[in-house]
Amino acid sequence: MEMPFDAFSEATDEALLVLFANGDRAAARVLTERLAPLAFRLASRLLGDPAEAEDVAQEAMLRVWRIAADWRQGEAKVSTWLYTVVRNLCMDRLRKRKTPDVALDSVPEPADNAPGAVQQMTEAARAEALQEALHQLPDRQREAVVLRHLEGLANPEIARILDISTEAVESLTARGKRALKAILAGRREELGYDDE
Amino acid sequence: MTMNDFRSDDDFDLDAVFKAAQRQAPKPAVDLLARIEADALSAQEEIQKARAAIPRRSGFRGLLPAFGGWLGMAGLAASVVIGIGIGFWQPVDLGLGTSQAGADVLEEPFFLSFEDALAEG
Repeated sequence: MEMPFDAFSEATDEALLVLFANGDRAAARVLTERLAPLAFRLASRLLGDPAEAEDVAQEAMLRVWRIAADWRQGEAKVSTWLYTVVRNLCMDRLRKRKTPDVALDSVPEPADNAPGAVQQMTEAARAEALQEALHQLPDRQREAVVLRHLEGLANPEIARILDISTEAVESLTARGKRALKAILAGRREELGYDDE
Repeated sequence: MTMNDFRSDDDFDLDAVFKAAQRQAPKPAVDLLARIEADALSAQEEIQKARAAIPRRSGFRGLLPAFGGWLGMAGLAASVVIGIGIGFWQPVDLGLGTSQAGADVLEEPFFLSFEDALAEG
């Protein structure tokens, strides 16, 4: 029997996965709407390339569908599992790019923007500046900062995803934030924060 | 976040930047969601086909896996036989005086007879 679409709003991802495996098409749609944005968002932030992020999100979701029939209830959250899959797929792609992490010292000073840019600087542009800054961080720091401060996950969950200790997560996020501050503070003028 | 939030590295309000980035989170295109949902329905069909292909077992053979297969069933049967045997086996006096002590105790009936109960009121 197929449940009505609205009835799923309170259902957990795990329950929906069982319904999906039992042939419920509405569960497939709800899970897509819940999980695909998460997969795409994380992939975009880790890869910085929307086209690649789409491929990763689709691949990660395909793995969700394939594991549905064998999913063990109560062992892990579907979202945590998905974050792990997305993260691993992103790391594979980043390794294939073979571009070493850029050391902070070697980051060139940003060019001065034309006067009046401050006024035009939108929230979107600031978000873009953060995205650029994130890509100057070492992979692990970027992952930890994105999961903690953009995805809003708790440290123990991040520790499971990255397969490290909670203390290591705390250390990575702290170092990542310090590095981001250094990068973005260096772009203070460009971002229009030192105008007055 | 005001324009003067970031005077130095230390007072750089990174949280404000994070919040801006959260509000500007990248969202999947409708095409992508459609592709993912199509994958889902196709995977769902495969699951149903795979389940339908598994032969259903009935009766004793259907119950067998629940007992751990033939090996589990053999263990269960052996336990039943041993249990019945222990139940019927006459206890042996080990000469430790325990059986006599038990006998003394049992000289007094453990339960009152119906007549005794009536007599005691």
